Amino acid sequence: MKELLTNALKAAQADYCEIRVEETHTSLVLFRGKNLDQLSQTIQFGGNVRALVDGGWGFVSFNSLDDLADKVRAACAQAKAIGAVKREASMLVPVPVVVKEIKAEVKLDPRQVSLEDKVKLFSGYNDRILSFSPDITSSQVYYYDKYINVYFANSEGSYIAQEKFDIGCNMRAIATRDGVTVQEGVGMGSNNDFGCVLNKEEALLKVCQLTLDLLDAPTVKGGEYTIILDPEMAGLFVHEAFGHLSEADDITENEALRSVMTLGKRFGGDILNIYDSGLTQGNRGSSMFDDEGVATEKTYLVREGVLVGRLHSRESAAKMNEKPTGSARALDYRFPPIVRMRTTCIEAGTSLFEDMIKDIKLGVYAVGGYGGETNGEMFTFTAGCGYMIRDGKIAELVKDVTLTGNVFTTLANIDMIGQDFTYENSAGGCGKSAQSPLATSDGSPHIRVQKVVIGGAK
Amino acid sequence: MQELLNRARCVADQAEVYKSQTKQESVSFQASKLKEITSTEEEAWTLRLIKDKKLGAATSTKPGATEVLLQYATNTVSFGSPINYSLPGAAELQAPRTFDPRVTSVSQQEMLDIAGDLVSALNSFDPMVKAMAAVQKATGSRSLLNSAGFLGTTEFTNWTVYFGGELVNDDGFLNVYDGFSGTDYTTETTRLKEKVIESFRLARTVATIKSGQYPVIFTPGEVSCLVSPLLACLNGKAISRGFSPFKDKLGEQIFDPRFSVVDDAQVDGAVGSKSFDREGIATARRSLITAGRVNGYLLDLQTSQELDMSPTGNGSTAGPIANNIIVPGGEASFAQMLASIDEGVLIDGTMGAWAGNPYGGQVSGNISLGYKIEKGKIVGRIKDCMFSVNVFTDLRDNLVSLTSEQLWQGNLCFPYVQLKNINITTKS
Repeated sequence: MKELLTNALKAAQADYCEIRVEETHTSLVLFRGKNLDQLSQTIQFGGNVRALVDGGWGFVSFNSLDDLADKVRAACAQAKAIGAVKREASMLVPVPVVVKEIKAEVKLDPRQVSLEDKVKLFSGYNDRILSFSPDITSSQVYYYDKYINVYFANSEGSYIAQEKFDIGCNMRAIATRDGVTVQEGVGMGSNNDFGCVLNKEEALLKVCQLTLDLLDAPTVKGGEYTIILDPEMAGLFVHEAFGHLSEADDITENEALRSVMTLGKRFGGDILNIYDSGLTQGNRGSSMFDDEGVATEKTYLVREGVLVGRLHSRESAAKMNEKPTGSARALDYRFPPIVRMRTTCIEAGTSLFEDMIKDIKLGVYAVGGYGGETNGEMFTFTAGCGYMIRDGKIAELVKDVTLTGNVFTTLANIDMIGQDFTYENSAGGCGKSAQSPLATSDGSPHIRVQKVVIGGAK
Repeated sequence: MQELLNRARCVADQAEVYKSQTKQESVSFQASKLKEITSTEEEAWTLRLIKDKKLGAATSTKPGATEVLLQYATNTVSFGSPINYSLPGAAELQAPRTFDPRVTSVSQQEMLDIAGDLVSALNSFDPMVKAMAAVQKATGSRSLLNSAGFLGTTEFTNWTVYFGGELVNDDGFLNVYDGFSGTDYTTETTRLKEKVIESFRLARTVATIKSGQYPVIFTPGEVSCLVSPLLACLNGKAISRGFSPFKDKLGEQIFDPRFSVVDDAQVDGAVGSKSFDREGIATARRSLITAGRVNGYLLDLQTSQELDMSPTGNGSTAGPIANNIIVPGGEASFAQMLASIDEGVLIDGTMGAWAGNPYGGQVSGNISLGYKIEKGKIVGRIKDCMFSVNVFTDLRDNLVSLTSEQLWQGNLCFPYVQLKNINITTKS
């Protein structure tokens, strides 16, 4: 492969050119209700050439590696057409030339478990959900594993072959009674260990019981509350609310956004530390090199409440005169790399949960993340469920808990951070510019936030 | 395809080969500047096997990987999904227009000109707005062949124009994006241009609103917040698994009689149009909700068999899916809707509204682009607000009107919808 790619790159007439080839083998198991709904195996194979000329990018993707040099020329011609209009200097931050072949450090290799054993395992989980109670009318057990080989070469002489895994699983119980349907679930994932899906019986029992309880739970009453987010919700929050804002490709060309995101600006109290890391081995999204061949790292975004960094591609780092962070990632060979998160975390603080809750007169404890979205300044996300907090104590269960707010005020309103840090992985992923779902994960302890708007019942 | 099918027949009782080919080119501007030209070519093969009433499947985009494809499909079929149906044979197909030769001949320069024109229009309106525009053309084909004798091929084109911008100032962030997509070529971008610029103009004034219940107008693009949970509930999977509240509700009046939902794969030029679905079933125009009554479900081979009904041409490899979803318009005009509101909200952008439990009907989201209406006029943009709707009860009890005008967005075609007594929550 190395020879094929480096030879083809000789045809490049560009300021910069790279080729990325990927082969991904996926196994998928999906149970819905009592039936095995989908069982499939997929080979995704293809490559792309990306070229930069006078500040303009060309990108060509394909399945066949035949006539690779022609594809290099085509991408260069596209870049040249844009460069002729832009007439800007091509800017890429210098990074070391790397020649390396990297094997995945796998714990339990999903390829060592037969498809039959996988079907048996998830069928067992599915049976546990469905047999929990007659009110549990359906289920969804979704599992996939991917075995990925990525080959990268660029016109600067780098050649990196990386072997990777991506494993994800979501399991969900669905309960229906008197026309009311509710659901609750649990997710898991890893970049190196099939073990992440084993021994989930106890977690499923909890999910099933919570689903039943939700049948009788009222919809939360809309309003402004003091809230405590569990680690899963807090992780979703930091991803949606601050992670996306830290992606520098959006900041580079926008002077106004640049001034909002000036390094040194205060975003929260001294207790707040946020980072994004490509080095948290075991979590989805971690890898040694990004899709531009740049070594990944742990990047602090906020330290003691102050903005100290952001996530970069080679181009955005050069344009902002900052250091590269190895954050350029592509969903697969069909897409060019753009700035993305890896594992995004709020660092552990010092508070105990009982101290966080004790002086809340009326609040909401939001548990489990359904999903969320941001437009940069505003965010919204939905919890799996919530508990009212009354006079410093956990009170009744409520459903349909959707939170919204302004990123900057909400960060400033985080007044307590727990010591109970955990990573969160699931079979989901992150979406940006049609590249979804990209493997990401997050981590956080419990956090407490003042004045958060929750939409809800009349 | 025939060769692969023949080989598959040797290891299975029934077999199906699906092949898709797509070529795509796009030009894009970001932050008001020309950004990139991209082109992609993709060919994918999917093989589904049925053996001893079990279904297995494999897909490959690797050229010449026939052996692995067969091997993977064979692996899965031995303990695959239990099924009880047979693949459909040859059928009479009615083909909507899905191919426009003009799309294939559009030059790169023309695409650059269209995108450039949009960007410069927004820049001359407000140079502080960072404009983005993307123009994309695609062409391709889908072919399906099965052991029961079905053979169908569809050639398609796709023409997409996407446009918008981001403004960051003391009032905060404002993102406005809009676009259109269809199988036909058009250079008509005036409406798109005006809509985006008008949104930036209207948002210049900021208005405030108190938490409470208000009349709310959803723009056609946002009506999907209301319709998506209904589609989840009308999906044959949710019906046959028993968790859809619409189970056993066929013929029942559960919505306002002015509200209907249609799935129509036969619309000329629409992106979701097709003569046959992914399983080889002929498509048609089908009413899902007729005058407020549940009239039909989205069904594939598996769910139709489970429910003892006929498949509806909504099959995919992952259960039933919608083709083109249309909410027929009403009698009102947008101007009349506005004029009827003394104090209310116009919702033109939402975030996170998709994230709730669709089977409960509760939809909550942030209003990322919304305006306050006072005495029949839009007075400014509202921020930091959430809306909360229960589509089951609000489309039954609180529907005020639908406009006669409908707008296509992707495979969705909706009118403006006005509801009353909708919960708006904001900072106290």
